[in-house]
Amino acid sequence: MNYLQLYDAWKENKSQIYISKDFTSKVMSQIYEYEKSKIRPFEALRWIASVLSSHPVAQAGLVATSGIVGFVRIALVMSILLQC
Amino acid sequence: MTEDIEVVRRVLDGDTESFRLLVSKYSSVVVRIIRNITGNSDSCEDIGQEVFLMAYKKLETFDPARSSLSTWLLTIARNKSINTLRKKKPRLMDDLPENISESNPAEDMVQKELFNRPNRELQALPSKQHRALILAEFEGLPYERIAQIEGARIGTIKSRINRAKQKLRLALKEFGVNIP
Repeated sequence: MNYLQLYDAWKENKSQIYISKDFTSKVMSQIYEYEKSKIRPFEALRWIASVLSSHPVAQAGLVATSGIVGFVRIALVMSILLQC
Repeated sequence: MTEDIEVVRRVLDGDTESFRLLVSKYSSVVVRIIRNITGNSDSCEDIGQEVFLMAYKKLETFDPARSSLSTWLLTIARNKSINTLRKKKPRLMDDLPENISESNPAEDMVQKELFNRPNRELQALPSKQHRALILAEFEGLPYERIAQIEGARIGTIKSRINRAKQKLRLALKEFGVNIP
């Protein structure tokens, strides 16, 4: 092997690559995982909606919580206005 | 090229599985470029996976009027490799492809020794010249595409490649390697 051949062999060596057979599958599973993570927030919302629609107690709790929050807000505004 | 655009359109329309075709088609060139730029054959596949995941996430930004899909992918691979190099120091490229080692270990050891010197000299080149030489010599890409990937003018790329070859030639002179 002369030196010119060595240079060509080196270039040839650098042009080769061995990739594991499951490389594409690994990439695709990461992509599907990413797709799942995008859907998750909506799934959580859907779960909350389904719980609320199927449990009367949960509905009553939500209404009561909303009422308390509303009452507290009104009370705070009133107290600020009375202080002025 | 037209095929790639069609596959991209399908993926953007929600057919995620079609992306597998692009990964299979471009995995070798992407991982090879990462290995040759970073000089690390251990983590090049991991970085390659990150490149394809990023490409999938940013697929909407791919503009076929500006570049081909392969150029776009290689640009991501190049940027990811540079970021990896910034994070940690590169290792010298002293590895041979694993499939060669299976054939004749003794011959491969000799080859490995012989390639050690040009590998060292390649790694010692300034990063821009190093990358230009890799894309031109190992990947056989035309100047125009290298210029797109590197975001530089064609003249600048030609000059980087010439300077890189000149440096390699001088450095390997004592070793006796003639570079065409």
